[in-house]
Amino acid sequence: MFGEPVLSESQEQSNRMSAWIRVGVAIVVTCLCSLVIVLILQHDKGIPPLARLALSNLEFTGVENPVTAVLLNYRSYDTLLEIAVLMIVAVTVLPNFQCDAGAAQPFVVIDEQHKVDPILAGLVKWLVSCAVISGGYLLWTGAHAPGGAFQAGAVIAGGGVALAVVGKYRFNWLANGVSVAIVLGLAVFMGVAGLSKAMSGVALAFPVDEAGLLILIVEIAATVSIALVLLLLFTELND
Amino acid sequence: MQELMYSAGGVALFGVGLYGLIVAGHIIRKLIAVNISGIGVFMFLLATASHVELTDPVPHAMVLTGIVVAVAGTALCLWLVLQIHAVDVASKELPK
Amino acid sequence: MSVLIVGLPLLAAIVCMLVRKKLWLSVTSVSSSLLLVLMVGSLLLNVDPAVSPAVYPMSGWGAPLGIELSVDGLSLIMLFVTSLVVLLLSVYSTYYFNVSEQHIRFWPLWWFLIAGLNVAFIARDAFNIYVALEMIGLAAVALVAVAKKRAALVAALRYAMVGLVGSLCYLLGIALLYRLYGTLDLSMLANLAEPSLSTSVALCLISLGLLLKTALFPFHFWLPPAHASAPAPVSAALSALVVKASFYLLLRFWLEVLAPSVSAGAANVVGVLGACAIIWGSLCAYRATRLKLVVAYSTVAQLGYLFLVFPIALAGDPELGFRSGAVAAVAYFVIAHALAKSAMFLAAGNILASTGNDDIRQFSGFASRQPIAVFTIAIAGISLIGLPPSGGFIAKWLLLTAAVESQQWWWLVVMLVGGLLTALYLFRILGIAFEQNQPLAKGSNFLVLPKPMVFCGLALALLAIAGGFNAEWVIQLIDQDMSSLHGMGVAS
Repeated sequence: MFGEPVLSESQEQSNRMSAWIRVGVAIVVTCLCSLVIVLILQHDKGIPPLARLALSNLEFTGVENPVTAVLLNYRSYDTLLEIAVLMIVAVTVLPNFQCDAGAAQPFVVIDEQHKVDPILAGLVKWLVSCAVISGGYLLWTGAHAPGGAFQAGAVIAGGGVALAVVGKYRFNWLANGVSVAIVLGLAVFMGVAGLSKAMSGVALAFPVDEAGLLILIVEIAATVSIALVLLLLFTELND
Repeated sequence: MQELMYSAGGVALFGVGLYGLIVAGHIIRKLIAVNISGIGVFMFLLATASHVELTDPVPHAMVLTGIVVAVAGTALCLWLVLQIHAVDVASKELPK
Repeated sequence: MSVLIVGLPLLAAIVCMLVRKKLWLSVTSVSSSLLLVLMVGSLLLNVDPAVSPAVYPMSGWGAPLGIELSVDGLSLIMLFVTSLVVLLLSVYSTYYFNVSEQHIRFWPLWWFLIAGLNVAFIARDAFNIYVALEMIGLAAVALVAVAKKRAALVAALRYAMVGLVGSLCYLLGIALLYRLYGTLDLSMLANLAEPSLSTSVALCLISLGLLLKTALFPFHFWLPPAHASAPAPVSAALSALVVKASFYLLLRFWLEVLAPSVSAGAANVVGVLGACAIIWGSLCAYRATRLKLVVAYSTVAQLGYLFLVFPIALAGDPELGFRSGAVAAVAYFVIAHALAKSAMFLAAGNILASTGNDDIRQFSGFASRQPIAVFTIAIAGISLIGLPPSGGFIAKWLLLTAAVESQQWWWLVVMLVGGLLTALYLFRILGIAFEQNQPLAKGSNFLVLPKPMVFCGLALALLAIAGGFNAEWVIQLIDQDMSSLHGMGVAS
């Protein structure tokens, strides 16, 4: 943690920490953790009033799942910023050399030369459609049961990963419209924040009747962004 | 009782990760250690959320946000490692 | 209005992600930063002491359930300094990057960083602060790596690891607090929190996380390489703003939210570490051979001064006047250091950009070749050393007064020695730059920089000096904060 980052196995062997330092670190960390654990065991926690408050206001949030209500209504500001965090990583990882060269090609480039095992090809087709359908289901079910934009995005991105590892398909991140789709989640969230400001006077305060619809719009856009960013991270970190 | 076990386990996992982070040599090991620490904290939060009669949704939402942030941080670190590796490879190929 | 302070940078970031032409990126960024200055300026002019701090219930739910934002005097000062520095750095950056790939990467990250900073400055919710810290940390790491040089990438990786660990410590501390008191709202925590071992451990974890990110000695190891190898405007923003954000949050936790749990011993430990940072950072700055490394070590030293506020402000009864004096001093330090240090990094960046290296030993005769860059370093140096008339002088004067009033004269010695050491390493650079006895043969491979690049640094340095002339409103803003805080304490 304190020195230069070590990247190779041989370097790792040469500057290993001495046993005494490791024992010292172990003792310090153990003491810290056992102190925290002892304090946890001593202290009897009650049900925080916040939990009851969150559950009793559920009918005004537009969703039935309390976790979704916290994520996209009570504390939607945090979720907005969380999507911004994903955008930061997406901007960093997104390849952007030769800006105009890739724009003409489609998003999924098919390499016709590449021969794929017919069983694998059939399996992947099946897997991808399954991933998309179950992602859609997770997104929809987030309103009343565990699920939501991030879970849906992760499952759909999983389908994309299955497509990427076959070798026949390649994702072209410079294609037209991809960057728009990546920022879609954040942009729509900001738009909904502005809209709610106009409707109720306070940013991100959804009127009770429209809350369900607004949350669904935000979640759909966020799912697209999250799925794309996760897929982007996989393909760009996989070379 | 079970809740306390999970809480204590979460804190212990955090400690394991912290130790690994300081002691491990290779950067990928350190990165795994940070992720273990993170999982420990998330586990602690989830255990805190559980009560006999109801489940507190707020820590669950915190953990979901935390996971996304952890994914983002880990990806950024891995990207940096790959970039450093690419620079190293490029400089070795150059004739000296 | 407080929503727009966060919303505007996020909108600018979205636009910068979609626009890929250099011209439009520059136009968007400069106009948004100008708008940001105007917005914060109007907030600053319309401060109403009766409703300060102005609280905004985000998503309409109010304190325990939703997230609240609040703008008080201290956060206004931070917001104003940030917007001012960001404006000049944005203008500078439009000229600094000459590869279009760097432009495309830099601008969205730049606006996400500013959004994160603004979120942190107006946050009233512990978990919201965690998300803000991650935004700031990841955007800062990505910005350091924009140039893709090996040194910068390695420094960024180290910075990223430290950032991740810091946030996790912070998150565990927050989780403990939530378990104890069942709320994340800072005002509610301030009312509920009682001094106990559990609270102290939580505070310890939170402080550990924030200290790692603020780079207090001995956690400063990641700072010099990261700040010295980043592109010039990024170095300036990191030193001027990013480390200040985590310090600002620490200040909130120690003096406001968990103040009763802070023991005098802990405050003194942090103060001593601050003193060590001043001495050690200055010595390293004196020994460094690269100009940007000198400036980066100088940041380590200057951060030390900020931590002297804790033993001085927390000594004795909070009703005594020197507490608000100490906080005003530290706010002034933040302003003066942000302006002076960003000016220095821009000047160093200009020298690096025009000559291709920044080795101090080759500086001889530089004053005649790059007079404005050397002049900028000299002026900014006046503020860093703390000579009158400058913002740095006022800051030191206020801190000295508070130290004397709290009868802790030994901090005086530290501050005076620190000032002398600062003068030593700055005069070393200037001394070499003003040498006359060297042949001007190397002058042929000089790159002439665009005028705005040269004058942005100078403008920041002059602002640092101008900071010496309007101390009144800073002290007034902090006094308001402290009296409203104190009033709240009595009511509860």
